[in-house]
Amino acid sequence: MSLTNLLNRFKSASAHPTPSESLSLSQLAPSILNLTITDTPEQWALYESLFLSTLRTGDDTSARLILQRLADRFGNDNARIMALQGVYDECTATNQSQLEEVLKNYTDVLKEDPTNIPVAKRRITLLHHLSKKSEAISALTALVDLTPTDAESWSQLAQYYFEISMYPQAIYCLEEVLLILPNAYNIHARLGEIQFVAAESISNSTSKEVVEKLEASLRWYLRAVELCDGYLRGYYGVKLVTGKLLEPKILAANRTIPEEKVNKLNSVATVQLNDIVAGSEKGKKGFTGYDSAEVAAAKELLEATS
Amino acid sequence: MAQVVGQQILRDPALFYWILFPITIVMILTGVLRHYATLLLQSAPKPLEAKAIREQKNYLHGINLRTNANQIPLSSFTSRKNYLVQAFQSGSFLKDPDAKNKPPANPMSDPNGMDAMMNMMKGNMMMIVPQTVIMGWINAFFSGFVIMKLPFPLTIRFKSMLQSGVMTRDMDVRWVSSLSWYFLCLFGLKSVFTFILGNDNAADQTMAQVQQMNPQANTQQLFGPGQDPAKMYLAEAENLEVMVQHEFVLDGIEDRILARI
Repeated sequence: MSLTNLLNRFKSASAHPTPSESLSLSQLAPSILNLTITDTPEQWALYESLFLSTLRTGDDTSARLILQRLADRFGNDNARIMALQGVYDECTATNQSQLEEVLKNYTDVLKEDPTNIPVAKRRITLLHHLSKKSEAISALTALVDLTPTDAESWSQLAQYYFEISMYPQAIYCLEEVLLILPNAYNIHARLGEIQFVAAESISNSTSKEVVEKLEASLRWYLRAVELCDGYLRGYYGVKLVTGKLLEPKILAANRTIPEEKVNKLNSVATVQLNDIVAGSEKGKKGFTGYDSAEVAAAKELLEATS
Repeated sequence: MAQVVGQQILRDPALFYWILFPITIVMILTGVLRHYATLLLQSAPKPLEAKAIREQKNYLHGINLRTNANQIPLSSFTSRKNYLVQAFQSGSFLKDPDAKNKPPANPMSDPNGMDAMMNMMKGNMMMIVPQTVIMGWINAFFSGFVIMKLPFPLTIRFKSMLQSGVMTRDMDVRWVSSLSWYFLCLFGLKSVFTFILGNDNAADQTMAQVQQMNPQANTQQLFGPGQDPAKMYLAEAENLEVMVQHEFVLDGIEDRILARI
């Protein structure tokens, strides 16, 4: 297979590959490693993706070889190579103390060069993994102070805040992502989700605040749908939130979106979800590529409410 | 007097082999050499220190907030605006806040600026030195030689271009002197280099690759030498302050979605 063919296989893989997908990618290792090194950016990008795939499937020997070649080309002191080396060390560590050792290594590197952002990110991930959540968050806030235009850091910080139920902070971080990437519809949907969870977490379920949060959530979902047609996650959210808003315990006085509009939006979302579920199950053209788990969840929601 | 149709000049064919060819080959070889020498001499741009990165990225943060303000609710926007305006005005993001009120430093004394200038110097030297040497060589050995005849007629205007170094007023424009051949090679060999060195920007390509390998290297300078970051921050704070209009994109979204169906 040629370089471009191989690269396309990696590009078409999903961001969170299933184990079988990872395995099939990882099994490309021999054919990629046997290609002559042409020293093009594409080839190194391919090496990097393959490196992660081989680590996922436990092919440490190939990973070692790939890392060696990358280090030969770009030098051991390249920030990105250092981070990849760190990933390798983390993956091959067998016990807690070895992970602590890797962490110490990261800290030493950062002490010498605080601008090594790939390693800083590895350190934060590892801290979080080692259940030092507050340390991870404070390291990440320091990182976003250094580079406040890095969307990846902000969304990761949002995730960490969300995990410890600090919803306003999580929302703040995602808003920062929107300032950098104003058309990221998945971030809009995520904001909808967080607002929804925040509304659910309020104990007094008849208060005005709940309605406010639910309506905010609905609007974020609607924006996601507006930006991306046929966005399953967006329509799922619209249907879920409108369903909550139509519950009789919601007082009419608290609403800012009239009930009939909510009703209409609910039926719009139902129609769209029905289309997507039906189309995806039949494998109709234009309905492929949906995550099967998401389609199943949508089907369940439709059955529960009908 | 009858018009002389084609001037005849008797040339030794050795002129062709011993001047025209050597000049061309020397030009090509120096071109290739220069290319590799430039690659060797080019020092990698120094990465910025943490404070400089912070200074630049926070400035971009302010610009981002201003351009995409409509994406976030008014309350979020206002709180961010107040914070950033205050921070920008107090200069807390500056690399060295003490230098705020001083006149901008001389760009010559800025080490980063020096680095860039040094690189430029090297590039220029690589251009000037061989050019001078070759031109001196041609002038010393072959000045005044007429080495070839173009196969097509030209107007008189080309005389100065094709016959530099030969002061013969009546000679046909089609005759080319050795010095002129050198100039033609100098400006005309670009495509030959492209052919030999692979698109001529092998140097650029290697650099692009290293860049691609560390996109976070932050080597580019947002604030050029001589620009005062403190002033730019103040200007950005003012830009943010005068933003009164805020139209949240989520306002009326339900009607937009319903109207679309």
